[in-house]
Amino acid sequence: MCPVCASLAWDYIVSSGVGTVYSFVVYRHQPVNGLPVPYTVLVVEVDEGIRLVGNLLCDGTDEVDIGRRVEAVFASDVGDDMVLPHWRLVPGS
Amino acid sequence: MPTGHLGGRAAIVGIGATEFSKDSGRSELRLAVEAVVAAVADAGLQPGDIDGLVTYTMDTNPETEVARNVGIPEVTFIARSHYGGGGACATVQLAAMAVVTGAARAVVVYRAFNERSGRRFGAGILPTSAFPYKTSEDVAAGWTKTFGLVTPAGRAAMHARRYMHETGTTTEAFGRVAVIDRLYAASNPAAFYYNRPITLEDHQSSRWIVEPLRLLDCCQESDGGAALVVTTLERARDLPRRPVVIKAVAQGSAAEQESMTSYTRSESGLPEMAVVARQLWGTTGLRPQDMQAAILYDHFTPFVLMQLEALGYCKKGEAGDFLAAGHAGPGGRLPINTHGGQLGEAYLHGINGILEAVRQVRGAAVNQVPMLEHAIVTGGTGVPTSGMLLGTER
Repeated sequence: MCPVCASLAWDYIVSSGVGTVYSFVVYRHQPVNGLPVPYTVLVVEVDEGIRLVGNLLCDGTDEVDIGRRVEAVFASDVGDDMVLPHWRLVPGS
Repeated sequence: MPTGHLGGRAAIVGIGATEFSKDSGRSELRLAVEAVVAAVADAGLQPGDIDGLVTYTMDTNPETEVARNVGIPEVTFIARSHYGGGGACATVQLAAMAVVTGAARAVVVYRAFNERSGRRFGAGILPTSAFPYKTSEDVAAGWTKTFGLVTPAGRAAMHARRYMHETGTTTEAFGRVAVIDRLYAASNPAAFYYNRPITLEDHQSSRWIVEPLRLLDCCQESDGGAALVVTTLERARDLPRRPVVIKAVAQGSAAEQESMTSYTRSESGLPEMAVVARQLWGTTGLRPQDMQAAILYDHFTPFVLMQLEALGYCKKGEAGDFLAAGHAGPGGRLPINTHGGQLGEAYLHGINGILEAVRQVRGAAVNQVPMLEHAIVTGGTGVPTSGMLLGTER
């Protein structure tokens, strides 16, 4: 429900798929859910204004920082019937 | 005392606990009833004097089974506070409300589990055949606790990284919390880490768990049980122990609150603890500097810094300086976690911290703060939380 107007007629908008890193963590110790460590989890503030949780593609782990620009990429890495958004650093940001 | 508030009308009159270990060797129910029996005896009461039972969510011990085993006959009040350790002090609020309104005469609060030997790692999110995803809570978790962000350490680390970015705080500041906890634990025979202090160098060289959290930023998992008894202050005066008065107790959930994943809201840090703080100070006239000790929920060290700020001990971003100046250690203006905290004594979702505050007010703590009149205790952070002020009767 919309917390401002109590409307239930909610819908979605299509994001540009570009945003800024709000915070991030790097899992180093114990693998969970079959994900090999290290892996990086981001909170991305997309340009449309909301924040989303997602993974940074591994090759960017050493370069990531709050404020870096990232863009969404899509991969079906958890099965043929599910496509998930991931994030990669925008070069030079 | 302002009317309409619980402050000063109820007291903690008994405490009890089992030993704290990594493998209790007995059932969670047995830990619970051992702690309850000890707390009731400490209060100078009999099980038949208890007519209320309170615990908080994530406890597996049914009130009926505790009552049946201990010999508590008729019960007129049962309640649980939510959000795990966040509800630690809320249990005392529920108990105080019950005795002040007459819903019960004496309430026992308990928590017990085999957290370590039970191996609950990963249980917070992974679906099983017995508990598949099916609730609105699960759907929300599909947005916020996914992509491998499946452990409390990871979620705390996400808050910690943002806090470091906004305030310039370093991981050394986190380490100072761990050093204080382990220092106090080293002289507390009940602590799991008795006689095992650490240095800041130990902290800085401990391995990463989830950057920016190291091993020594993350609290242990423990087996154990603890309990306490609440009744009215009037009745407490007739019991053998000097009453530990509940000066104020409050819960807090902030705008756009989530459970451990509130980094999608507009305000960073712990605004839910500020909600608690406003009630604690506002209903009593007591001020932060009127506390001689603080038991701050320390499942992960960065949240202790954010609590010092939300409770009014320093401005945002200054908790690292507060710790570096030695204010939170022995002889400081606000010693914290004098039992060793959950990093050092045991991780019982905060109830052992309440027991420590009771001992401090009684003047019976192993690391007693001299001339103590008041202590503040907090519940778990990152979730809807709670806190309270305990003190001597004056």
